[in-house]
Amino acid sequence: MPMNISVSILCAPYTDQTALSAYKFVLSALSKEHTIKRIFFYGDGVLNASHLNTPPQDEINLYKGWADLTDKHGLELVVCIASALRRGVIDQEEATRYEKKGYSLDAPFILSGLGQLMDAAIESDRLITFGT
Amino acid sequence: MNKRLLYICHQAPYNSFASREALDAILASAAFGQKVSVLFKGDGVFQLLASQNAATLERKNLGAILSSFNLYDITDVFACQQSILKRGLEKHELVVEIETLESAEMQTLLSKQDHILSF
Repeated sequence: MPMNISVSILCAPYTDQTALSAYKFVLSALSKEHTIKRIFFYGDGVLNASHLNTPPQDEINLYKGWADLTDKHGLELVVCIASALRRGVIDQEEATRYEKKGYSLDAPFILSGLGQLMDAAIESDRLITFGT
Repeated sequence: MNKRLLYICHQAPYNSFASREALDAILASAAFGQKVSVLFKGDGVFQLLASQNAATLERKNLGAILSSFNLYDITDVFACQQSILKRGLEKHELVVEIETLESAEMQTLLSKQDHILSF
């Protein structure tokens, strides 16, 4: 039976395998006709959302993976703003507000609050956490 | 809609930011009117110590956040009996009132939830 699934990602890319496992899980769920309601990046997970991540070309580019998947399936990629600002993951609007020289977060990722995780928990049949 | 959410806090309080970010999520869930339970296990039980002092680490005291649980009507607070015993903690040293659970009781608690979030 197709389910409505949300995913929360708590771990950084390129630190351990978990962020990649989350990506593979989402790919697999979509291929089985499940709906992915939202991906919520929290804690160190926000580091997945920086478009400045530049892995060597012969390694998997997880950022591009999420972006391409969103192009194809219209995923909602929501990044916790409190976790993100602490870790230098910041969009253009926040960069202006805090008078920073640059920004690292852009569409399709968006900054929002923990309410989006709660909403995902309420509206989804399953909430799957990756990390810790 | 109301969902039963269980947060499992299993990391030491100041080793990473995960413990702090778990507490933020717990308070947000309660503010959104969800039915929240919290289970401390492993090194996570150290978060419960009333005598913790984070000032020298230049961090915010997690105990202060924990003691606000009752303001948010978070009363289903549990700890793994084994984890508490192994680390030599006593109930009177803790900053919130907890119910200790044996492993079979933890299984029952987990089985009653809609979602489980682990930090």
